[in-house]
Amino acid sequence: MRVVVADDVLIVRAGLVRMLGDAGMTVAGEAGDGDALLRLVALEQPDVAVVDIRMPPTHKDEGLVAARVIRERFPATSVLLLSQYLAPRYAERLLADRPAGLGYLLKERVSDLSVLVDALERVDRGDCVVDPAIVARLLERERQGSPLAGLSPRERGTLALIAEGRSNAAIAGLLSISERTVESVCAQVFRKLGLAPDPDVNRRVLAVLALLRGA
Amino acid sequence: MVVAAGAVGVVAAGLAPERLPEPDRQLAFSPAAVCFVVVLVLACLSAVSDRPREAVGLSVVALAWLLPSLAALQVLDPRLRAELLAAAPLATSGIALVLIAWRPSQTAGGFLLAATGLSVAAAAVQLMGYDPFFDPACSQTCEAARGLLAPIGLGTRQAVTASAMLTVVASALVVIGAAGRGSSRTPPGLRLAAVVGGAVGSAAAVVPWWAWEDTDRAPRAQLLRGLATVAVVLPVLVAAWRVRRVRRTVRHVVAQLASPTPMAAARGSVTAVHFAVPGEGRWVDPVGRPVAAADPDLCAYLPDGDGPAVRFVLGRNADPDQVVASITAGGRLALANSRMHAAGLVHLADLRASRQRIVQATDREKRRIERDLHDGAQQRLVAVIMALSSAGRRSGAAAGAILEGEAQVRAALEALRELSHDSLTAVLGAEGLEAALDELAAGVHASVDVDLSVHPGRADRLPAEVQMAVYCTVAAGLDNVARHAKTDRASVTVRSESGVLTVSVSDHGRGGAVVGNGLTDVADRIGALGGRLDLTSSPGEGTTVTARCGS
Repeated sequence: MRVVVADDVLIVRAGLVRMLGDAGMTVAGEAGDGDALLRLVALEQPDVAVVDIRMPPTHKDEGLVAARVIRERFPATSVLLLSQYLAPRYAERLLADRPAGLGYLLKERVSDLSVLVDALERVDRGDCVVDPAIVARLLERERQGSPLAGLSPRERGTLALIAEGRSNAAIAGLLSISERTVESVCAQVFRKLGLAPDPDVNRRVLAVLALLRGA
Repeated sequence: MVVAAGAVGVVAAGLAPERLPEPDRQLAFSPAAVCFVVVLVLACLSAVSDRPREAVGLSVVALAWLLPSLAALQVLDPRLRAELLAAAPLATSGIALVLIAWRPSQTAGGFLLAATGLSVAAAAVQLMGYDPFFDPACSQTCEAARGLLAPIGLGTRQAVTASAMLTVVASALVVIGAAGRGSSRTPPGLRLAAVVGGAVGSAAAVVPWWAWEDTDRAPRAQLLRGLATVAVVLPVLVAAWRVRRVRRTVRHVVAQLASPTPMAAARGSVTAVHFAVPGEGRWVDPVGRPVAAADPDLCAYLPDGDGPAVRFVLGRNADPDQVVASITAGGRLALANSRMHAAGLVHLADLRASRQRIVQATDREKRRIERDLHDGAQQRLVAVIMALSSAGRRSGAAAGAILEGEAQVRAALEALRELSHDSLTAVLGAEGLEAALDELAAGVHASVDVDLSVHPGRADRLPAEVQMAVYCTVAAGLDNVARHAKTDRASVTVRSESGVLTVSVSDHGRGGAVVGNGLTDVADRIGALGGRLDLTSSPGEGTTVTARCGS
């Protein structure tokens, strides 16, 4: 897998590059801000861009802005955003329109090599990955009258794992239930969220979107 | 009205002798004229009652015109009637006295004093030298009168001539005194009138000499004196009227200072009142707002012990001295009160601004710390975690210890993130108020309804310090809910109505909350914005924290 890395802090960038190398990935290039990242992506056409949200010049949301541009102009390149903050808003804003092929992880999570590799592979496949801590925060935040309020604890746990990008088999393993049960729970979740079966849409991604929007 | 009646009366009286029966015509007595003069004198005296010297001058002018007319009254003693005629030259000294009342320069004042003396001398010469036996105009009235100067060889004709010359010289001095630069404070109309009055008065003095032994010409002196009186009296009345108008304006302005909207509209000769902040060089308006510099030539200043204290900005043609003179003792007290009030408002605004600056400086410092944490310590810790994790994978033997170290660093990073999240600014700065409030609501375990009734999109356009204050109020309120309320529901409301922003956080928990450290900080922050924070919390009835401030 070819990956580019964008982070303005050199030591973090170096750490990321080393970890990606450990995982056997090809780091095609590094960038220190949004503009450099866009040039790099245009040049290298990588499979995934790993992007820090806060970068120069304003240290606010340059990474988010760049991620949007990448998703629009280079659909073949997926984006995994890294953030220091536990801010669902960032995730919501980014993922709201085109969640496929996007991920949002807290920065220190990536030091767990398996999590990083797992997330990279999933966004590369076109899934949507959201950090478990943020998913937990989103589930806490659910509002009255929202369809999420009607979910049972088990359905809720399943939705959280879906949002983390887990497959049905992984969810079954984690919850110690059979994969068939997971499938039926998923069907319940989709029904309660009003997501009818449709071959053109990825209902797992839409469910995550519903979670992000709080409705 | 009075002025107009007086003017018509004087003119009519001046013209009247032509239509009087023969005997009286010679001395021009007319009851109507006397009545008008009395009215006129009363009007003048009431108009200038607070300027005694001017009132004396005007009275002298009027008497100098009135007394010779009374000489025609046959019921009077002939000697007295002869002496009444001698009052005529005093008109000139009256004009001089009126001008002196306007405080001319020393030179001009000298001319005017000399004119007064000369015209009194002219009257004395005429009084003493008058010999009615040789005066055809007096042939029927003054048999018993004899000139006192006859023994020294000054006959009646010579006395009249000397008196006329002295009057002409005195009138010339009045004209010089009135027209010269030394009288710049005198209203221009009055100066012109004095020049005309002086000229006409000297002409009137010459008439008896010119009309010697001519009964047709003699009454013209009286006509001329009438004209001179009108010329002097009218402008004095106009000036007095203007003084009254200024006084009324000043009274109105001072009274208005006590109203809720002081000096809302400019009025007449005073367009604004400014106060000097005690001990400083600043000028402010009655509600303590700073004012632009004013043209000193268009201002009247009222000083106190340390310098100018009150400044009246004047309209065109208003006389600063007149304005200052129009302020009564009560008015001065009211102005001093208003000045103290304005100074209090100024100091309040200064304090509020300084509080706000302190809050802003604190916020800036927090943001800096937060940024430093994010860009420095946190990033380094992330790098350390990565390095440890990488090392842990390579070294089989020490892997356990390295993983332990990694977990410790992870915990440190978590603690740091909590800290920088507590420093508030990350989400507020990056995502706006609404998002930040949602974050706060999500951060507590209770279920929180957030109702942001600020016009869509307007919340993020509120001034940064107001957004910060809203955020801090909600944070402190929810913190209270989380710590003490023992409830699982709370509500947050933010409303903006007619320029007032109201933020309230309420729960139905156990209540009994008191203002502690967190809320004191928020109260200071709201206070810096000119608002206030209220806490209602009765045991068992829940707690409501409400902040109100201008948006």
